[in-house]
Amino acid sequence: MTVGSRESGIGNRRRRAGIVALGWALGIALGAAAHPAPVRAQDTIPLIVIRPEAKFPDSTSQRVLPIEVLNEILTAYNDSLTTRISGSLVLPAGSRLFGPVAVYRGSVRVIGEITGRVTVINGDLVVDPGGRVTGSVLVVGGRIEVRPGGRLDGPRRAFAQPALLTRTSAGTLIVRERPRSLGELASARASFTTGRFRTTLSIETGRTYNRVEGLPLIFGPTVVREGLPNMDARLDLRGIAWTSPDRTDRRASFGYSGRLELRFGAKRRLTVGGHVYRRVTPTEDQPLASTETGWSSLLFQRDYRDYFQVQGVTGYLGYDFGRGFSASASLRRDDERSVPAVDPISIFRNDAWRPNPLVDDGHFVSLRLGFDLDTRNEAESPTSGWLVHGWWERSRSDDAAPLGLPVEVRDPIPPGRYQSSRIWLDARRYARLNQTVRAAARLVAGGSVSGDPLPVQRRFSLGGPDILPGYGFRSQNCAPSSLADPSHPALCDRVIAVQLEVRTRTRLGFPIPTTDPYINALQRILGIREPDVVIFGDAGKAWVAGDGPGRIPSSRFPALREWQSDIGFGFDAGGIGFYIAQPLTEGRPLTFSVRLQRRF
Amino acid sequence: MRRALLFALVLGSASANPTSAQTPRVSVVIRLYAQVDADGSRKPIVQVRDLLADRRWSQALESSFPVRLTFHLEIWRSRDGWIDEFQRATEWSTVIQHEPLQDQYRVTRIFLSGPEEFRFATRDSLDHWLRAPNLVEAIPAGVGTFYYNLKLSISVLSDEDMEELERFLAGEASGPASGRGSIGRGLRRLVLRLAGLPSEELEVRSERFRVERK
Repeated sequence: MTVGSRESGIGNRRRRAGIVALGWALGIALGAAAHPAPVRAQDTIPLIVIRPEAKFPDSTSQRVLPIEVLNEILTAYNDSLTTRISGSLVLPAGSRLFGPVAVYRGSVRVIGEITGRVTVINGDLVVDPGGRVTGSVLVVGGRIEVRPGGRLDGPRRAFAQPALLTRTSAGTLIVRERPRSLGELASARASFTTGRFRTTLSIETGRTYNRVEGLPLIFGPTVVREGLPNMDARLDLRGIAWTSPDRTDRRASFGYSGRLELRFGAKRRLTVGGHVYRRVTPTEDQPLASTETGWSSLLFQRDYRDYFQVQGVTGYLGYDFGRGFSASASLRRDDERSVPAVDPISIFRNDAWRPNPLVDDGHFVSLRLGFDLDTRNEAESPTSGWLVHGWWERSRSDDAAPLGLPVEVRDPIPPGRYQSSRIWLDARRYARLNQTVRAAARLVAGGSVSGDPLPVQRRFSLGGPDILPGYGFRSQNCAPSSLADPSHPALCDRVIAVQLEVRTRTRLGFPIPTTDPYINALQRILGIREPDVVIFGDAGKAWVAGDGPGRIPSSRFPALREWQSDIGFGFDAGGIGFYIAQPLTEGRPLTFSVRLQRRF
Repeated sequence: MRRALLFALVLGSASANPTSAQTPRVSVVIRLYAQVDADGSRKPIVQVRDLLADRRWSQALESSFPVRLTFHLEIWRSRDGWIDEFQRATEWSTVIQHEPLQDQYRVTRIFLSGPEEFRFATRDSLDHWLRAPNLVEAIPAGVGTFYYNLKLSISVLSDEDMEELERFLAGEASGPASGRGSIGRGLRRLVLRLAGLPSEELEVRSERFRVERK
């Protein structure tokens, strides 16, 4: 999110300051490269050979705890006559304990004497010198060790495989459900199985916060039919509650989503599904990701996106060709309508929110063909491969009520059918130039294909922290100066932008090595790692296509001199990045941005 | 103007100097094995240094927090004058736990082929084992100039991570959690904040070596 920008005087001085700042970054990068970590003389420690790529010789079933053993330890621990202990236990010399005894998630060290059955779950049993155990012993997820001078009289069994159990509030053990993923911590869910259907009830946030919905809360069941050799079936039913009420009745009181999806084939490559929904959706997926937009809205009352309500039905199919390539097709019929900005709370500012722009209300039928390619070596911090997302879409409406826009933006649309085609391409390439320097390039392009007039909710803009950080929010929105609209809508027909960056990891001593829990906590919250120095350049142009003043003919691209461009540098420390960008046109000031994720 | 640029360069360079460490800090080294295969291939040797001398990690272990080291080794083909080519990556983990009752250390090393467990009666013997250079059986395919890039993530395991580890050791396949968005990550960090536990990521690269046709 852009948290501030400051005028710094005359244009030349600004540019000079930008160049000096770039020099500073280069200096740090060069300095870091010039002072590598010290390498010591080779230790005289024997070499250990490891084979991380060796495959497991057989299936993993050999490592699974036998079900009868699992049942035995559950019975032993949950027996009301058993002395249950959670955590480790030391039985000191001279003391006696009469069984049955069961210990969960801890080791038992016996220096005294235990008589009776002993069950140790996910821990070791150690009988020290002078210690004695008389009775049957069962250890799961650990081992039995009888040290010289210790005695174990009775049958003994040990299994190295841990038991997947969990302790209830009543103190008994049950088979553990699969733990929630870390990404699901903000949600609550419960599952149960009926026959071959597994149902999960969940409630979670919509992972954003904005001026139309506030915080969306999403709840409902998911039913999954598993176990078929060539098909998976999944039904998701969700209700959507919005924490900010709309007093105008333009927005519905609640949203919903119902999706049935079938995946076919041994590798589940073919997907066929249907979806009915009523939800609030953004007009563009930029200039910030939804999570960053959410934080920006919550903290600073700056919502970088616009929204409209959509109610409709979609049918879709997709095919995964392997090697990261997949293709999809969808046909949908939507009722799209304008929704107003409401008044959700914001922490550090409480002025009026930017109005949410009106859209062309009506029913739209849209056909979309798309593809995705992902050959990156890793998702979070890629250094190699492609990430490409593209689609073509044809939309038609028989009853839309097009807004009256200035003729510089769109010619008046007569009543009746109105249709348009548009495309979108976001292609990113990640590469390593040498051992220390990584590079990334991105091309973003989209817009109307044949010069058809686009609905307001399908138009574009440029400018803001993501694609052109040197320029303000929607510095290119194609609104003529005669249009005084405080909602600052995106009105362009087409957009194209390129981004380039090189980055190198520095040794600046981050995260700060400390045992102070508060500093560690802060570093963890921000996801601090050794920062990359990033040097970047961006350029882009958004425009209205067609004939007329201020427009660019549909058959040609704008000349490069008409593009806005910037250069800059920053530090990307993982979960947070700081960037300074210097616009190269129009004598604009330096812009400072904070991002909560990688630029692209 | 030039003076300002020079000043910024010098100052930036100076600030990048590693400050003289008051206490040892964990580091990782990757170098090439001296033995060269017939085609010129050279295996990497990975060595972790000063893990137990670094107070953050020794304190975590003494407090009975398991410490996990995740190694991510990438093989790259270097192409002068053009972008380097990523060939493949391999990963393994080492989990170190202190067993206070037995006053010993348990180390679980996790490969694709399954886990290996080691026990050490003393901290010195654990330290000796941890400092040992590891010869990694991974070599590039094809001909050209290659190098290795190693990322080492060190973290303290939370209860949830421990459960996930137990699940893996028990033989259950556990892929990466799907839909792990940044809010989820943020919440995780928020949860871990309560403990204020450290985490660290290190990245090093080997020298380049040339592989010829056999």
